[in-house]
Amino acid sequence: MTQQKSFQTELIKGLWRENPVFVAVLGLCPALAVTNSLANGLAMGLATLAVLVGSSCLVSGLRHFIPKPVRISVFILIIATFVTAVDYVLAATLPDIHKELGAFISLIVVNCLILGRQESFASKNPMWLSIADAAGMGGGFTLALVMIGGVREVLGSGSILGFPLFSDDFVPWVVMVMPPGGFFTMGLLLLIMAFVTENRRRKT
Amino acid sequence: MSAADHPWKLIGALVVTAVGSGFLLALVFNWTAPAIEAHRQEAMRRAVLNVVDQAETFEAVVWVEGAWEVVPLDYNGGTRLCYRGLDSTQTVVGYAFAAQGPGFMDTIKLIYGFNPSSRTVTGMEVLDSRETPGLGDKIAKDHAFLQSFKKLSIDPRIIAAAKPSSANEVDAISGATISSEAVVSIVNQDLQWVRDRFEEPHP
Repeated sequence: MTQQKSFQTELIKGLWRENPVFVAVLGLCPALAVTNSLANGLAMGLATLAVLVGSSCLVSGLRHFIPKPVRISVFILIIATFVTAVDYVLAATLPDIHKELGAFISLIVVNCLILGRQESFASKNPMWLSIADAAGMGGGFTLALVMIGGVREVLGSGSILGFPLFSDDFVPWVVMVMPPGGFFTMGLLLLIMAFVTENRRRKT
Repeated sequence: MSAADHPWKLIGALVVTAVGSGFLLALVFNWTAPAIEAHRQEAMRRAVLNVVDQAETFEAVVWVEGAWEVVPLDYNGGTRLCYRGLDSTQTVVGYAFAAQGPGFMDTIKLIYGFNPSSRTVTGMEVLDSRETPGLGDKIAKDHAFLQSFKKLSIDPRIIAAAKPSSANEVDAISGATISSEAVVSIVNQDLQWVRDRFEEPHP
């Protein structure tokens, strides 16, 4: 596969075809842990997106100056800087969401999705392609977290973005907002993804 | 080892990155610190009014030489800062004390209200904790648990129980026993200091 890399293809691939959560199965810890509501999933996704774009941009810009033997340490330093900055900005602007996400903001540092994109893409490609790649992957991650969070909130709390959806006699499936619910939803969405992909492959 | 990978170059790259990171973080910190502090004070204000029963307003107080002395809200003078709730007629209705101690994962910071005349805890709110998401973090939102801190007798001491039956027992959260007990023990520990302040002086 030696097709010409373009801004659009790099941007779009992360959203679906190479979706970090559903296809690459990366970054599962935050994808399962903080997605008990749509708003939390969205906030976590956007925080990760911001860190990813910032780190990819910087790593790509510095890629000729980073000596190979210490590249991972430098990547981690850059990522940790952006994570801490996002942590402060979130605490200053959205204290409630920040409190809800708690320790998981700092744990973005060890999200393998981010380090993975630096090592496999940003350190080898020009800046504008790296930004497209990061935005696409971050967007795909956000999309996945919103989907998982949405399903869990509707079933587990009977609401969407805090607005009640059903009448009062709806009994929420509390298990869906607890950790097992994350795995159930993840498995369900992976199944649907596999089903769609398989169907598409058969048709062609 | 190629010339490009000379140790000084590696050390240089790491030092430059670390210094750059530090500089950037200092900028971000300076820029966000006032807003974070304002949010913290607002959260504290809401927490005090929440844990002190019937409080409409509150003032900051410190214990100086055997009596409570009113100080500005942003007091920072080394003596322990406490809060005193007042009702609409400016009568003291209770006190609030911020306390912290070890939880299951990390330090739990909380605030609780205390009514010296009925010797009861009047409410408790967790200000900051890193307890296990989904289990231990329920100490901040579990309704029955928080509710049992209202009108909670402190004598002889507070106890976390699965099925509370007497006035000094807290409804421990199932699945979060350690975190529940940690909260209770933080409050108990802190009450030792508080008790002394409200004890009738011995003749």
